[in-house]
Amino acid sequence: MLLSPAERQYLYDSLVQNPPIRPDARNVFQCRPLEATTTFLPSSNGSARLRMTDGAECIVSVKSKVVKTADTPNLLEVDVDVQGYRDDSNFVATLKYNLSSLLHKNFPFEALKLTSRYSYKLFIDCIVMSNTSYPLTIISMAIYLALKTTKLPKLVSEVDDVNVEEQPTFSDDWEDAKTLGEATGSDFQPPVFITLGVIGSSLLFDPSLEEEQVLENGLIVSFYDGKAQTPLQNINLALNSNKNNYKGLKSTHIVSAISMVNKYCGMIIHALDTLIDQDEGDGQVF
Amino acid sequence: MPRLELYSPEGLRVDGRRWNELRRFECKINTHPNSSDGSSYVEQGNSKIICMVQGPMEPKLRSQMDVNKANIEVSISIAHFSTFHRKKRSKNEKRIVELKTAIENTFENSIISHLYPRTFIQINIQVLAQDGGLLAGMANAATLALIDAGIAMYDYVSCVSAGLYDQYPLLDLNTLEENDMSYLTIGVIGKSEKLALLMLENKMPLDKLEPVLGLAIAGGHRVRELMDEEVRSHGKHRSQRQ
Amino acid sequence: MNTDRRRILGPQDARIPDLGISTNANNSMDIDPAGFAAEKRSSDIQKMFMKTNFISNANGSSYIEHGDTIVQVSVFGPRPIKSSFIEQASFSVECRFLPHLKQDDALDIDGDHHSNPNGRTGLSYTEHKISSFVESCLVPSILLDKYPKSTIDLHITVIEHNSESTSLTNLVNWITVASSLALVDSGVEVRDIVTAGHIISDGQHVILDPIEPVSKRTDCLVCFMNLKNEIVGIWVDGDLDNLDTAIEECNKMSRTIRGNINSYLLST
Repeated sequence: MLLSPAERQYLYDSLVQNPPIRPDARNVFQCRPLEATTTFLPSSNGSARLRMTDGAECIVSVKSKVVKTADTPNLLEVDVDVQGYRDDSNFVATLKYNLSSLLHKNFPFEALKLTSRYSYKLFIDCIVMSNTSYPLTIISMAIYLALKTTKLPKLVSEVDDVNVEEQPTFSDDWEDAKTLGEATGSDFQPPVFITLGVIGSSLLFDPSLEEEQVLENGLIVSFYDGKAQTPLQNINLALNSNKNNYKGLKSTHIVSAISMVNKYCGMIIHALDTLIDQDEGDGQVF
Repeated sequence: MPRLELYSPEGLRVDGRRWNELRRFECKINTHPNSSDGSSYVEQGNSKIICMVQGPMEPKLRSQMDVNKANIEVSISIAHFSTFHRKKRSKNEKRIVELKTAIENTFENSIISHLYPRTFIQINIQVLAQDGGLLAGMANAATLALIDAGIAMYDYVSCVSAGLYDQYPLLDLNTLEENDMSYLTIGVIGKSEKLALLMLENKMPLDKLEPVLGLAIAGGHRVRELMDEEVRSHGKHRSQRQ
Repeated sequence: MNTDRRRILGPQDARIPDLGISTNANNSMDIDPAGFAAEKRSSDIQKMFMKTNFISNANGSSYIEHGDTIVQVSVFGPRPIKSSFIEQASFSVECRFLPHLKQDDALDIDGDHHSNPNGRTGLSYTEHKISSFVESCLVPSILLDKYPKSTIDLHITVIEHNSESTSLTNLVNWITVASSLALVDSGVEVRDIVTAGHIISDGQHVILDPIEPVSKRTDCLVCFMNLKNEIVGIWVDGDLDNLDTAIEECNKMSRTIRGNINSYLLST
């Protein structure tokens, strides 16, 4: 049992205030502080480690493989491993489903195209080393960092190989490798998920474990291309709550969730980009 | 195709080391102060391993409780991306279960477990990258994490692998070398020549066992020094901060 | 004496439920060739067939046929739990497709084209996803406080689903309706009956309850507790423009279904 009835009531009462008073004095649109390192796995194309103040930590690796486009319907594969949960548990399966559908709906697949017959396939493996609150946000942010720093080798053979039986060949020089952004020729920003807690008439970004215990509902909204996107779903975040306050939503909640995501997620993305810039790039995990 | 020359006539190995040289060994302790009681990170060559220890704590199930001593459980998860070619592994793979048992047995005898009756100690090992010396790296990471958790142990358990190539003993093998020669992994207790762990999975001529073991024990002592350095410098850092 | 304790066995005198009497579930709605009906009518919802209380060893059961979709739900509980005291009932949902059905594999997780191979024991990702969605939709409606130290289990079986023509969201729409019907049948106390509405829209036009494959911009499934107009589940794919109108349309559809359920329950 995480909170006593009195603690629950105190937390609930302070969160339904307008504006809500959060236990860590955050504003409603603020995420918890993050700490990250990137590009520390030499055998992966991209890697990232993201840690939150409450000790939640996620490691993501992006590996690539050259495949025949015609034989592979799916150029992105996401796998999630959460310490302490079985791979076939509902918790892990739902996380994996949500992350796959996020990336499948919002990804520039043309960046993976190599030649007219071959493509890159990306394997995104996420390991949640420890988690307290619902880990969807931290995983998707770690995926953001890993994809953003993913480098794919440069193709040196012909792009048009419709008539020629030729295996693609690549430049040996890692300096030539391109990030996915350079491959699309645009500012590539992978999609992220934001979890919002619903309590009273307020919406809280990135609810912490204690906040999750008293929430009335939860929403997950995707953000890509500078605006809120689908998948958009509601979800019960208080998984390990002994007694939940779970209630229905009003449609105003959903409308304001979308407008809040539109308004503030740009800043979150900017903060993530700053994390990448601040990383010393010395290949150290810790 | 000519066979890869693992040990050249000049006495150099594939990665340029001599027969009795360790790979780069780096370690850190207390890497996860907020999410575990003890944690460590070990890099042995290109192998990267994280270890987190929870406990001593109250066991979740009655069956995990021992009235006389602590119950120690190890869980190993090897990342799908840890090898050059991505490969999915199940946690119940025979080989992983075997490694898990080997580490459990080692630490059951190295932890002064009668000091912690009715408790449960969980050791979680996460392998991020592997390039030989898997068992040695995992056991070293576990030793450091247990020290960080403040769990009483008789002494360091420092592990290293050593192999036999033709008739030359070689220290601390990488994947390429491991695939091509018979090797053993040992865990040395402190500065002694006693072993807490010895694992030999293939054949080795009996008369060659002694030089290989001797080399491995020397390597183990060196690993112990490196781990001790890190533990002491971390301790100093902590005491200055307070 | 039968000693198989591993399975929940049917009664000795079990009879096959009398289910051959499906109503005319053929496609009766005309969708114009362009793909979008110019006008929307509340009668746009497909005909459906429903039946409750036909599994005698379940506490409640329901069966719905709708287009190519056939769903059967059974409720077990409230049943006592063996472990330590809990203040309110725990509620769990498990959704399974019959093994021969092709599941929606648009995401193609893990690259397996048949996410439902023979001999599989665990659930597929789609099944897990549906289970957790339905669970989060129904939890607000059930008075879990009334049932301390007990558990309520809901088992959904998808008997027929055409993944070529019917979208996953449409299937989930009917699964949700069938589940709340089964809950009512079981006599578990609920605040309200959860009903769902599913629409697709291209920005200007809206189709309620689409069961033909059409190009779409927004695919929106919303589950309601109609009494207080509360949204208990939302699942949107595609564009987010005009989401409030889409929710409004889903609400209309859910009210129509609610009306049907009410009259069915009153007549039985």
